[in-house]
Amino acid sequence: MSVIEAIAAPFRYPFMVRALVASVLVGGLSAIVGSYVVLRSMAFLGDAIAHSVLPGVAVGFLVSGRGDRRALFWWALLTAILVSLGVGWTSRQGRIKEETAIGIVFAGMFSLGIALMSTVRGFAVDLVHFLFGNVLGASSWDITMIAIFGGGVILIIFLFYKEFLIVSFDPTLATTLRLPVASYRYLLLILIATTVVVSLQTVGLALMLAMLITPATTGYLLARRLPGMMAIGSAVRILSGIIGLYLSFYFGIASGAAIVLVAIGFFLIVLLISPRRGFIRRILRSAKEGG
Amino acid sequence: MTARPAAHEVGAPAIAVSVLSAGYDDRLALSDISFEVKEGERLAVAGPNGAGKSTLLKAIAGLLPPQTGRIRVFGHPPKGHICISYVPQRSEVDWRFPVTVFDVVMMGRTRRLGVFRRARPADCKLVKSALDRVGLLPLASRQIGQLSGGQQQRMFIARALAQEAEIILMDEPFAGLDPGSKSGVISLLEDLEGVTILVALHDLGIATSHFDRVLLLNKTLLGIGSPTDVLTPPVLQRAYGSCLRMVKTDDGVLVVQDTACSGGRP
Repeated sequence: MSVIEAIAAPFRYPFMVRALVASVLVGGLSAIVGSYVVLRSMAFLGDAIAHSVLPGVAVGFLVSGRGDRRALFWWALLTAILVSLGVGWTSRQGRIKEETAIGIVFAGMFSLGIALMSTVRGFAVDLVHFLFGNVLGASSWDITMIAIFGGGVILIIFLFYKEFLIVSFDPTLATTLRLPVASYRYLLLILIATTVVVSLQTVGLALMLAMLITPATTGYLLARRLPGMMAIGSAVRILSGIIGLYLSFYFGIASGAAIVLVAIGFFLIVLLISPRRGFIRRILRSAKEGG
Repeated sequence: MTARPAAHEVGAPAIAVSVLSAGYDDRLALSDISFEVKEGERLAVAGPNGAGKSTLLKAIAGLLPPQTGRIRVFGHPPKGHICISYVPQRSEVDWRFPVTVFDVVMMGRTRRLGVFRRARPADCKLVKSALDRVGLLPLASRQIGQLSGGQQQRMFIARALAQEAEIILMDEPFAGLDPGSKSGVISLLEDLEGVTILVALHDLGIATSHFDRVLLLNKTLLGIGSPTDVLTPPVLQRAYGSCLRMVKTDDGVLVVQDTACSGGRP
């Protein structure tokens, strides 16, 4: 088999073509939204939102049976939005520390999800599916939902770009310019929640955080401006998705884990050689200053 | 999504603070503060660490609601104004954020642009002329972490210019700057005609030689007026307690501030 054949071979199968399209769409989306997660130090919050979707998935699963993925999607979306608003509200109360509040919500919701699902016999197989996703099982309906909701998220980020930038970089300036800071914060949480739900099929809940922050952080190491960070992050994430698909196809590795490992590989390379913030640059600089 | 900015009342002072108490939670950082600032005046806000200087600036900017008393900016509560520029202490800024100097100055235009609008050529021109005025035009496309301390402060002054701010509140802009950078920032502030400027600072020497008036603070207001009227040995003794040494010389009294000393304990 020649190299070209090896590259083209997987895409003789329609499910592989769907997996590729889903991967590329979710990849671009998660790197763009993930940039805000990284810059606003919301990694823990993002992880909490991802895990808190489980009870919604479980309710959809119980109500409509395991075959109906559409019901799961809507239940997951509803739960994700409610959870993100709830977490946003809880963390502003100030009676307990924000990360403690988020931790309690996160663990509580995840347990509730498992408790609900455990009432069904043989739930472990389905649980694994929700936790780790399976991009190879993406249907054309899944892709339509990713395109509609993912497109919506990107449109909102485009429209409110400069407001999100100020609220992320300098909330104090946003307040003195009398921008509705709290509203933008909630809007951003809803965008993260939506991204989590549309990525559910391809990535799964457990590895969601890695998909949000690893490519975006790679962009952060290389870029001077936010649009550059988003563009590099998207490119890294899409490339990881494609390479991960091949690994999954040829070696039978779980697709979600394969994609994350490739993305982390890119991150480590950039961490070493980044011209501005990389290790090698830092070592060279300190050697120069020392000598 | 955003309210209309408040109009300025004709003849009202730029800032009027009356019997203000402010702070976080139950702890009052400031109490019973009253003073007025005229439009275009430069006021130094001095006092020891923990005197409430930052709290006062944040309250005037509308970032911290007063617990009692009231603040008026051009006759209206600060919350309605978009003419106030607040420059935080350097340690409060994320200097690794992926934005350029130009981006940060352009942020000052946000409310003038409005939601859904991109910067127009006129806005870019204004941002460039603001950068030119503070001498940062050649560094416009640098990531902000690559600026020196003095350049960072000048960037924020440029942002205030782009915002068309009428009141600039700066929190410890001179902390950690070398003498050359300090005088650069001071001369920029002195050139801003018609802009009301409040600067929280430690350095009483800068307060004396470069500001119209000084407000001396230590939880309450200890004095406000021309530097020579306010910074007298008895008032300074009340502000700094035993952290201040006074030495009589032929020219008058030499005041030595012990910066390693905190609080008012002997």
